[in-house]
Amino acid sequence: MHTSTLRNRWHELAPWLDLSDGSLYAIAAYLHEQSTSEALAALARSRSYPRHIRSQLHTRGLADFFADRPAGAEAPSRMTLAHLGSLGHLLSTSDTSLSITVMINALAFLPIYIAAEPELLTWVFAQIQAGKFGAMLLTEIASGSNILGGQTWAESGALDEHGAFVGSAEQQTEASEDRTLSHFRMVGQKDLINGGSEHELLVVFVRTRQREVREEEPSPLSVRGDFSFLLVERDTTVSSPYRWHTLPAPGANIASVAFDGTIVPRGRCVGRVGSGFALAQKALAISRGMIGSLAAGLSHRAVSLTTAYAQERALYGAPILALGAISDHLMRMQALDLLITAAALRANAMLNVRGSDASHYGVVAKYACCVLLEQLVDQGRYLWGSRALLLDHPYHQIIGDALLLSAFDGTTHLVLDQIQWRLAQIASMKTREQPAWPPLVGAIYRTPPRHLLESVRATAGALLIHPGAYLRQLGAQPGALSLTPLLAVIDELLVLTRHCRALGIWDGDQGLRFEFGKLFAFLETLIALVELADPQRREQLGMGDLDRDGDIGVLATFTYAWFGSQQVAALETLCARLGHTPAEAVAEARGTFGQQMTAARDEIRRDHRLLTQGYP
Amino acid sequence: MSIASQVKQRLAQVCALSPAQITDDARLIEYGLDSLRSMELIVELEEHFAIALDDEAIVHVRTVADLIRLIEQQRSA
Repeated sequence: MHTSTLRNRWHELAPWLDLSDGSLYAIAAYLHEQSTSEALAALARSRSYPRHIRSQLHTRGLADFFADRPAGAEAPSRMTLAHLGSLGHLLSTSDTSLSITVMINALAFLPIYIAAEPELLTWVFAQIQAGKFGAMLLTEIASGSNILGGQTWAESGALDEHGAFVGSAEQQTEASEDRTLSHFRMVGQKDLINGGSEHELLVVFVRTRQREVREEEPSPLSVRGDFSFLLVERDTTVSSPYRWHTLPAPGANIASVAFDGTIVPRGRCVGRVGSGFALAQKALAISRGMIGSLAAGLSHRAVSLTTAYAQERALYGAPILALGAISDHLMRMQALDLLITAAALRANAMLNVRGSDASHYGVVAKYACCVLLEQLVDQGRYLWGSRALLLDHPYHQIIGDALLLSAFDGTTHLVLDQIQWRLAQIASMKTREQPAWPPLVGAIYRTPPRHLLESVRATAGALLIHPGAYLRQLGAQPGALSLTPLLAVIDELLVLTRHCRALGIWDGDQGLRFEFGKLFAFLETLIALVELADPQRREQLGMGDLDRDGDIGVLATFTYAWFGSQQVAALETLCARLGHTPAEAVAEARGTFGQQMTAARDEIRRDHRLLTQGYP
Repeated sequence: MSIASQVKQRLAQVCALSPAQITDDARLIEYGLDSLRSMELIVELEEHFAIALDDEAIVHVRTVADLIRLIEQQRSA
């Protein structure tokens, strides 16, 4: 049974989305229809692409989320990260195959949004408004997540008087760009491409310069300039030799795409020749935040299904929700849902204003939302028992889908590498030189959804908020959730980071750095919870009231204390491993979180309505 | 502040080091500059100095001194 509506945690916590958006309601209503649910289930069983559903979404205004209408059109633009986040969340509450089929358009078109010339942008918008979908072609099986190892090659040249391609001896670079070289010819293959054999507009990351093998050490700065993005329409030279049928999200089209001498006009190069790697990094910086919205939608679906089951399934004469262990699982699921939603919304807000300069918050959202989603799904699996193992049970599909999300837009190791890098940067900052963070963060949350082209083209330098300085400043005013224990953990983590770097054990131990990165990502997630779920902090940061029918205050308190106590434990484990004695404040934080968790848990167990509201 | 000091400051920031740890004759890879960090460094330097670093010239930059020299050349061009 389809359980999603637009009244859910995402919209309760969102700082600025106007729920009166007609297209979101129209799409939600369509997804809510019994016939749509049945059609999606049938597509999953037959592992078929949702072509008919895609066209139905198009008639309900889907294209407006990815493309402006021609000048003079009356419909308001929905091309904002806020709308895309809400769309991704909504689709994910319904079906993962559908959500990734649609939302891959966001990643695919990002290089175009960032860097395409007006003529190409106008053409692409017209194609999207005509119902075409995009695919992003980055990966090659041999090179995996190392996109710089890709071998798909685009030779520069021109067409002769017979229309035949003639290659050039000169390689194209930005400096030597020769406008008489009017075309590229592509050869190669990309793999594991979402929409690979179905989507019409292929945005291909391709090598446009081959380097000679040099004997001397290459410059670490030399990665720039070797790759470009080309926008390719399918023709007879483009084929899909293979579709993966054994992945989760069975209705999604994940396929290889091969190019056999595909001719591409120069005008279809996105941005400057050689700008591909920089564009890829900017696009992924934004899309990783969007993964958070998909995770939040799937999280909501899992919790809704499980909450309904816990109320309906009777054992020993009462719903199983009355059983202590069951309510504990559900409590943790709802806590994790709250954390996932908060982290995804925080990233969305940061990216809305600062674009790829807020990449840290997108990466944190991708890591934390995907990992916490897996934990959430596990909690549900304990509750469902053997039912979750049934292949045609809706919860079984959720288990597989949850694992798939973490594979998109960067491996776990890749994102942890970025997070630990940012932690090291923050730990090296001088706290006395920090700006006033609360007004800046408040301004970010209060900024209305910006047009996507404005967001993704923003350049103001990397946004990196010092969490210790920020929480100290924020804590000058009271809140429902005390910042003292969280600040103690953050302070100690920064001390420990500096300690490891000073001892010279940081650089040589990737596993250790990743443990630090994990903890840091989860602490950032707690900050998101404080900002978005604490009514007093929302007021302090200038956001609107929580849009809620019920009271998530007790759940928020439980979430903060339960998850906070886990981070204290993780920190203490790291300290013990490194022979470091943490400050007394850390032990006090352990005590504070423990007491708060127990009190909140007891209150929820006394009133199970606190577990059933918010998940219709 | 000299161009050299400004370059070292930005390099230190990207690599999470103090400027005092950056020496002219050090190879950039010694500071852990990988493809992602190097992209951020290039963007930082281009925006700070309002220049567009030449792709062909960048290929030959291996040390901190190489980088400073390149920035000085592009600034004076």
